[in-house]
Amino acid sequence: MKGVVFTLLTFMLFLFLFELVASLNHSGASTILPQEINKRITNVFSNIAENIPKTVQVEITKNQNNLTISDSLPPTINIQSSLQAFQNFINFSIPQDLNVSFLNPAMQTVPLTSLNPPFQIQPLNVNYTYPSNNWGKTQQLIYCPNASTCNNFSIHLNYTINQTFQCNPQNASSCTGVNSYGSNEFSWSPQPDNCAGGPPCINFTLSITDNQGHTYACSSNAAGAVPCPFNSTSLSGNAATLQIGILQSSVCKFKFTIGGNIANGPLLQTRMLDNNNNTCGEVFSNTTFTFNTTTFYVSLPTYLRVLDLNSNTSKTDSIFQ
Amino acid sequence: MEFKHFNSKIGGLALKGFFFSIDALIAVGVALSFAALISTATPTTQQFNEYYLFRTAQSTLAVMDADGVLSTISNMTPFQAKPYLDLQLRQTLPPNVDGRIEVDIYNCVDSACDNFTLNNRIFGQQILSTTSSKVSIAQRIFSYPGSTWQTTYFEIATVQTWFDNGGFK
Repeated sequence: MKGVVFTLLTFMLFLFLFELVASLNHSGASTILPQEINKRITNVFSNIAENIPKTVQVEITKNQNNLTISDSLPPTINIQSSLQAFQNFINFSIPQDLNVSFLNPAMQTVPLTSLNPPFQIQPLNVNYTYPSNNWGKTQQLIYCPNASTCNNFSIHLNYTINQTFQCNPQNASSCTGVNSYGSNEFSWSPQPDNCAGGPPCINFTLSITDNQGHTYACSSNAAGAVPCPFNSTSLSGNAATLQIGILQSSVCKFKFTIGGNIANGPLLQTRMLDNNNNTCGEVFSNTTFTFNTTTFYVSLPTYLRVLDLNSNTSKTDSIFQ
Repeated sequence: MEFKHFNSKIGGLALKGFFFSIDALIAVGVALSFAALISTATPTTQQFNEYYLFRTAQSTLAVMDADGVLSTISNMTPFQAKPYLDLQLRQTLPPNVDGRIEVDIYNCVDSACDNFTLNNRIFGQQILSTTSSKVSIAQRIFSYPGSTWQTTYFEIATVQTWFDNGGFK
């Protein structure tokens, strides 16, 4: 009799296991749906986020430990209109069972037109922005949280301007007052100190090309060219400042500032301004940061939420690349 | 007495055999249950193939956008754009995958750019030259802001991918 009871119990255990397998199979089938929903939401999220830099006329490229931000100062498009048009196209093209919304840092729904800089390079906390954090882009500004962070990366700057240099820097004889550090038309005041006092410093390379294809480059000591023997500067004291004279206007200058005491100002500032601080030319910039890490991303201080209305599943994250 | 003893001995043996058989059956059942569990928890080659095709379609769109292919076609006639798209697609796809691309180009209807019109639909090869039953689809939107609303346009690009050799075995 004991054997019969034992056998029956074992048989029931077997049936229980069988049920368990069947229910697991069933639940496995039903988990496909949430996975598909998540995949769809993530794709829509990344698709929208990837389009944002282009919409504000900025291109962001990551390549291992290099980050390049390509920009136009000032923009050649109306960025507010461009953001509005993109939001309209999102509403036009996204399926009706998805809801796309933009949120401010307080998680309140805002229109995409309220999206503002800075581009935040995380986790280094380096900010790439413009005056008053708006898309007027009258100047390029880069802020660094502290000297030790800036000391750990280098910055490579390539600018192209739509004006003509007052003299051709590749032919120093056409420029006046040429000395071992520059000329009257390409003047540093103060000069970068090439990290003479030791770290913290910012390492940099600089290249500026005018609309005639003439290039002024640092660090360069090419024969016959206006020299620029600088490749770094200290993150203390006064910032190194370059002024370049423009042929078409005696009051228009290309101005570039780097380094100095970053607790009181930007790490880098680039602008083309006249005596009244009005923009007097276009600058197309390629700014490449070379970090000592490959783990970084660029985000904007606005959140994007993609909500699947059927399942009430959503993805909310900062707009990042 | 002898007979009765013999019968009970035979009955006991039969009962033992019955329980032994039941135990064996249960053991086989349990083993089969675990085998079924393992097989359902392990991704199949078919699932890998589907994922590979989808990722390939997604990456293809990203690469074609980064290379400027998708912005270039807006300046082409459909007659020029079709062979160009096919060529670029073939150069982007891995050798074991074939595909088809379709790009819808939308323009703003007015200066507010709050409505859109389909300006052009450009697609590559029309016939799916495939025996594969599995076709993966990726779709992305692309924004091309212009200096005016007339030069602003948007694209919805769709890439279908399939294996031309049956996929990974």
